[in-house]
Amino acid sequence: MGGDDAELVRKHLSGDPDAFRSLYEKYGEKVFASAYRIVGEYHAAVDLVQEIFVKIHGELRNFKFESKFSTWLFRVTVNHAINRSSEGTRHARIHEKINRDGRGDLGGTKEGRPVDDEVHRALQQLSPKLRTVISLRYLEGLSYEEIAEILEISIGTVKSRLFLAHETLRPMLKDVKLEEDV
Amino acid sequence: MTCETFRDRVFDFLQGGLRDPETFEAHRASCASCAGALEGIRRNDRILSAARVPTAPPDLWPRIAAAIGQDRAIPFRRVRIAVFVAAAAALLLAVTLVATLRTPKRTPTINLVVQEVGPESQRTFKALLPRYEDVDAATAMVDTMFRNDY
Repeated sequence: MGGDDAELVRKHLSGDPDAFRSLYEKYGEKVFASAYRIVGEYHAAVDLVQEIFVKIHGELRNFKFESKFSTWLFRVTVNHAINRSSEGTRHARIHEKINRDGRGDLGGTKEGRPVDDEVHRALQQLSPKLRTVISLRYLEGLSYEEIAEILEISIGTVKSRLFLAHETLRPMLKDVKLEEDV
Repeated sequence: MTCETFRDRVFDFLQGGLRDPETFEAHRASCASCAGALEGIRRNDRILSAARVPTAPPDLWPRIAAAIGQDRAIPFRRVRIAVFVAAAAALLLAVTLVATLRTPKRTPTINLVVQEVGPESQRTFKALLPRYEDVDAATAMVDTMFRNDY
């Protein structure tokens, strides 16, 4: 695992609360981005990230230093997000629509670009598993090997899911205009 | 190459990791469906890489800290510093107390002697005082001088 992360985990386990905050500062946005992509709704993602960090705060004592902390963290994130997404997909879509209609943005600092909204809407049409591989690949920029380790599946399965996700997204994204296309 | 094999190898091809890209290219040239899939993935790649997501709200950490109790607890490092400072203060107090108790109480005998030897000693005392660090040292010197003279 990364030296810095291992050191921060050890400091946290020895009772240093600043270490846990450092872990949050390093990974909080990444975890939020993945959670947002998978659950599909801003406030649900905020609640989910809070739950995840509270959970790992208590469970880091069980962390085995055999894998990277980031792999372990993303595995926890993905499992929570997929469960939450399966539980509340319908509710989340309604909630998101209400928020979008009411606020006109996605709640962040980069809101308002058509490509962001169109991609977000398209991804919400995918199953949580396909959304997850797309999120880990394009949002987090992880390799196929890293995605396979996080999801505990084979690299072949990662590629199959990615292919299926792309095939599903292709008609939905065909009219998206990129700045370079204009 | 079959369409299934093409699909299995498409991501390796895009990464430039295929040992025999010619076979892959040959299938693409002969299969419109696979060629369309490849172009779709390339286009999706660009779109997905360009798409952004909102950022987390700034109050997320305070909420997490509150939930795990860190907003109430004194940080561990500060506790350690506080314990160290308290221990140092206690040690300093103890040393001071012991030193005070062991030091015999001084009586103003020397001063009295100096005063008793007369106005001359008082003037000498005042003249010597600035040269010494404290009154006791000046007094002792005057006492010695006048004891020897008288």
